Amino acid sequence: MAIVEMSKLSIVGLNADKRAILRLLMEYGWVQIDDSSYLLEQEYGETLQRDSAESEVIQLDQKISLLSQCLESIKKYVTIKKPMFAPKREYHAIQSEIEEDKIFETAVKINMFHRDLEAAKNEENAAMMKKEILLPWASLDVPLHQMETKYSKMVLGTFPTTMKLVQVRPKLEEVALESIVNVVKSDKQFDYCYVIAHKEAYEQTMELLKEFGFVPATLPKVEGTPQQGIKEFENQIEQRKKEQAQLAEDIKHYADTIPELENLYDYYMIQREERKVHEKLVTTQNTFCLSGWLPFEKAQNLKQELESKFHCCVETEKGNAQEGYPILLENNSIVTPFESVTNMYSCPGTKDIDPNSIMSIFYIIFFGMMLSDAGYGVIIALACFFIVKKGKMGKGEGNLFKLLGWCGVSTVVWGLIFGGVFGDLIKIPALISPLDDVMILMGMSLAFGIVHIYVGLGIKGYMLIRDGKALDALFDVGLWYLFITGICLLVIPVVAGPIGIFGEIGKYLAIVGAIGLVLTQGRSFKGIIMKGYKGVASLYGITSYFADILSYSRLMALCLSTGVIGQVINLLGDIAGPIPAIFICVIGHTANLLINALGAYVHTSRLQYVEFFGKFFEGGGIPFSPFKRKTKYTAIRTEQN
Amino acid sequence: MEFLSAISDGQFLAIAGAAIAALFAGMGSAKGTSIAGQAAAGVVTEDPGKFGQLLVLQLLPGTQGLYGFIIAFLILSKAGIIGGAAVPTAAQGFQLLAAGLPIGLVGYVSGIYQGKAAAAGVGIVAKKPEELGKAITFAAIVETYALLGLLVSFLAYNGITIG
Repeated sequence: MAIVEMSKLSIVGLNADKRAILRLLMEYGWVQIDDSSYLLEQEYGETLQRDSAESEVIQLDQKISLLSQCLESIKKYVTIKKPMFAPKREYHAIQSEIEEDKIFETAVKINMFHRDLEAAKNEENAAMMKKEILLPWASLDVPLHQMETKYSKMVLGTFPTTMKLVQVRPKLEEVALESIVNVVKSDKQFDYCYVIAHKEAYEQTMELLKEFGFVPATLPKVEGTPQQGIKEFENQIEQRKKEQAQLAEDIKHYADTIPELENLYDYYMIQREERKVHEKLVTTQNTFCLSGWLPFEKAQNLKQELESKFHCCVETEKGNAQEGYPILLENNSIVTPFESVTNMYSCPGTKDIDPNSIMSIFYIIFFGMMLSDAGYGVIIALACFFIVKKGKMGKGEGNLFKLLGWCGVSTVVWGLIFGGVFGDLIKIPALISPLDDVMILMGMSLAFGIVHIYVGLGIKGYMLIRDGKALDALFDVGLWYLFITGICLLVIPVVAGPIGIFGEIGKYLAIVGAIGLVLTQGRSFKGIIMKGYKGVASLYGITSYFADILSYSRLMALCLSTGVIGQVINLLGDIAGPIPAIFICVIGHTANLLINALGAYVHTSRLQYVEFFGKFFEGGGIPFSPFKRKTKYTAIRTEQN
Repeated sequence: MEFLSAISDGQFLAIAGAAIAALFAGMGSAKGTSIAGQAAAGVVTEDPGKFGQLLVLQLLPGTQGLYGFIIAFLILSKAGIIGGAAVPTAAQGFQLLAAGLPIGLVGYVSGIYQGKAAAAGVGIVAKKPEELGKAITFAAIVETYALLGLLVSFLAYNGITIG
């Protein structure tokens, strides 16, 4: 429900206890450790030095990368039958070095298999390529290792097909009469030829042929004819394939160790985090100093516990909102998912009020009104809550699903109000029909806008009063309430018909508000003229309030858009006949659901960010990031303490 | 004379209104999604894992086409072209034609410009994927005007009675 108060923490202890203390803090997981290196620049800084456990971190990094490589390769060959959205396995700390080594050995072994497998694959590719090169020469029955006789020499090579041998031969006869050129095989690009020349005329022959585009072939080393070579390479390919299959089989045997490997990976990750944090500490020869933050209410207990267990000095000091402290929000389980919406805009600052609980109410209402289809709402709510339940997602996990789940519930309610269930597939009586009661819908949208904006202004007023600026609250919030309400009451009769006495009240409210604003809005300026000018100019601000209020007409627009597209889909289904109708409806409604849910999400967020937060929210806080065990594959479930 | 009476036919004018709404808004969305899609494709060549996030950004300028389609559908059904409602007179036809204009024209322009804003948002996601929300918000601001166009078209449509 609020921003948690933080205390600043400093610990000075013995180096001998350092690891034990850090481990304790890590297991608690609610202490943020800050960089203490600023102490080095103090006057006594020379006696201090930055702590580090770099060599250990590097060692762990290597182990981690080896393990991640191992997991990646094993998962390539093993198909894991894991139910969708299954919860993560429980993490268990590895107790002994023997246990650790045993699993690590396995990982090394798997990596070896994988390396061999890759090597076999490369060799297979190489053999394949050699075979490809030999293929065009298959019909040549000359052993490739005996291409020379006493007087003659034979060369294999290619001509481009654009060059006809008929043109080459007469020229060749001029240079070396006894040379022979013949085609073995042709394809689209090349004529594959052999050339036999007398050794004495060899050079001239080659020179001439090169002018005609002859390129000598580079052939793999083969004992025997090309045909025999091809056979041999085929054997090699076969062999390598068998090897690969065998190795893949070997890797598959280790499928059962995946959980252990993953656990070890997380174990190393935690170790690494623990070593890495040393870089934030400063030490002398025998002592270390640590500084950071922790929730105020836990400070006293931690101080007592540390001082009783270790020889150390712990100091805590309550954080000051003016100077700021890391932001930790605490909300109930429904509101918590909405923190991510606010954080996407900006993390609240220490001077802010945690807006999440109020924001979440409007978020749920607006999302439902925009999507406004009971059928879609049921699908979203059921799907999301199912995933959350199946994945055993605790507090802070699966935020998006929880958020959409509640929005889905609201969508069902609004869908029933507007009479929309999959467009008009299932006809139910509508309390308000979007296509007929247009003015009611418009009025509702804008009324929601006014309420939303008033609440935003109200929070601003509350913050001002809290800071002891009651007069500012009266001038900057109260007067605007009067003025906006007055103007609204004046506008309503013009648009929607008479409202009796309220129009008269509106007139006076607007006049009082306007006079008040003119008199007060220039108060921070010097000189009567500037004060007056700024005061009058501030009235112009009403336009921005009206722009904000009109912006809520998107509630109506998106509501219409879902409904009408849904109806069109059903109509198309009707035209197409009963069996195609099923396809049209399933595909059409799925697409409509996705696009409009995206639209609802985007525009609901925007209403919060621009229209609502703009009124009071400062943001710019730094999120609290506690020193804790972070895992990738497993989950650490601890009781909240 | 036959030509003149053909183009002042109520149903023809209504179809023209529906066509303007669907045509221009659709063109705007096509262009907008294409601009955003091209930018997204460039990022995906480097980092295919961002596909999902970028798809959301590419979809944003796609809504104008839908809004145009909605108005076109509503106009066609009111003019008796879909379903057998009453046939509009020439004057009512002109009214329906005018009702199609706001979403058609605003949809065209805002679709393109939203596409540009979304493409710029793709740049944000390329470097800082966690800031997707801000990229979406920038693009969504442009959409406001398409929504207002849709509303004006709808309010005008809603005020026209045929028969």
